[in-house]
Amino acid sequence: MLFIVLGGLLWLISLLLFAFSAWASYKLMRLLWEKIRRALLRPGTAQITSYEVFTPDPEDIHVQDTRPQIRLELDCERHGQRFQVSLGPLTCEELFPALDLPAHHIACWLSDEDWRQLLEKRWVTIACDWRLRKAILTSQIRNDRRLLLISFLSLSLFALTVTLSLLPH
Amino acid sequence: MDSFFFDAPLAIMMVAITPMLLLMWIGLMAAFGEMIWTDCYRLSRPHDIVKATIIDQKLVNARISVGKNTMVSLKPIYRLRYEYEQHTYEVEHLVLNQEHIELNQQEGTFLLYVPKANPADASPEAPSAASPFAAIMLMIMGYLIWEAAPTLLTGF
Repeated sequence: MLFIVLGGLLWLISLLLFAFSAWASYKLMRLLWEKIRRALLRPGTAQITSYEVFTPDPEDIHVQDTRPQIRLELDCERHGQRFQVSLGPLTCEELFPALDLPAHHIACWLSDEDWRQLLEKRWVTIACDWRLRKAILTSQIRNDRRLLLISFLSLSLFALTVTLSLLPH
Repeated sequence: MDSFFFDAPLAIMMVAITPMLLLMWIGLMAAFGEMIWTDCYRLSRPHDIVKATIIDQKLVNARISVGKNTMVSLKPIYRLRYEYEQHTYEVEHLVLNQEHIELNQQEGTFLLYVPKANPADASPEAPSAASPFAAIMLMIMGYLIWEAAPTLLTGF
C-alpha cells in the first residue's frame, strides 16, 4: 500500500517536472527565435515626430530607476513605404548612444528647452521592426548579436570538451 | 511490473531535467567567458588613464537600482574637465556606486578611462578584479566536464 502511494507520488512529480520542462523549453525557444529575428534586422534611419519626457513617481516602490524616461514616436521608411513606430520608455543611458552622443550624458536631468533642441525633428539610427510596429535600438541589436555569438561559442566549446574527453575511451 | 512502476518516473525526471541542467551549465560558462572578454577588451583597447579635475558637483535625489534594490538617496553628479591631446573635454558623470570609482576627494581629481579612438567618450576608471576569478571558475568547470562526460556517457 505504501509502495503504491509512493510510486503514485513519484509519477505525479515526474509528470509535473516534465510539463514544466516542456514549458520552459518552449519559452526559451520563443526567446531564442525572437533574438535571432532581432539580430538579423538591419539598422536604418528614422525621424522623430514627437517625444514625451516623463519622470517616474519616486514614491512608487516598483520603479527601478527614477531618472527621466523618454517615449518617442518615429517616422520610419521601408521600401518607400512610411509608417509610424513607437519606441518605448527609454532611459537616458540607452537614448544617448542612439543619438550618437557619448554615454556620459547619463546624468540626464535636462531642461525642456534642451530636450526640445536635442530631440525635435531629429534623425536617429534605429532598426524598424515593421511587423511589430516597434523600433529597436541599434545598441540592443548589437547586444543580441553578442549574446547569440557568446552562446554559440560556449555551446561549441562544451561540445568540443565532451568529444575530446570521450576520445581516449 | 514493479520495476517499471518505479523506474519509469525516474527516467522521465532525468529526461526532463537534463536539458535544463546542461543549459544552466553552458549559460554559466558563457557568463564567465563574457566577463573575461569584457575585461580583456577594455584593457587591450588603446586607451589612457587621465586625471580629470572636478569643476562642479551637485546632488540629485533619485532612486536608481544597480543590481540590487536601493533606497531613494542622494547621488552626486560630478562635472569633470580633462585634457587629452591638446583638447579639453567636459563630461558629466553620475556616480551610482561610490566604491567603483577612483575619486580623490582631497585633491578634487577623478580618474577617467579615455579610449584613443573616441576621446570624448570617457568613462570612469573602474577597478575590477572579477576576471581572474572568472577564469579560474571556467577552468574548474571545464575540468568537471572533462571528468564527468566519459563516466556519464559510457559508464552505464
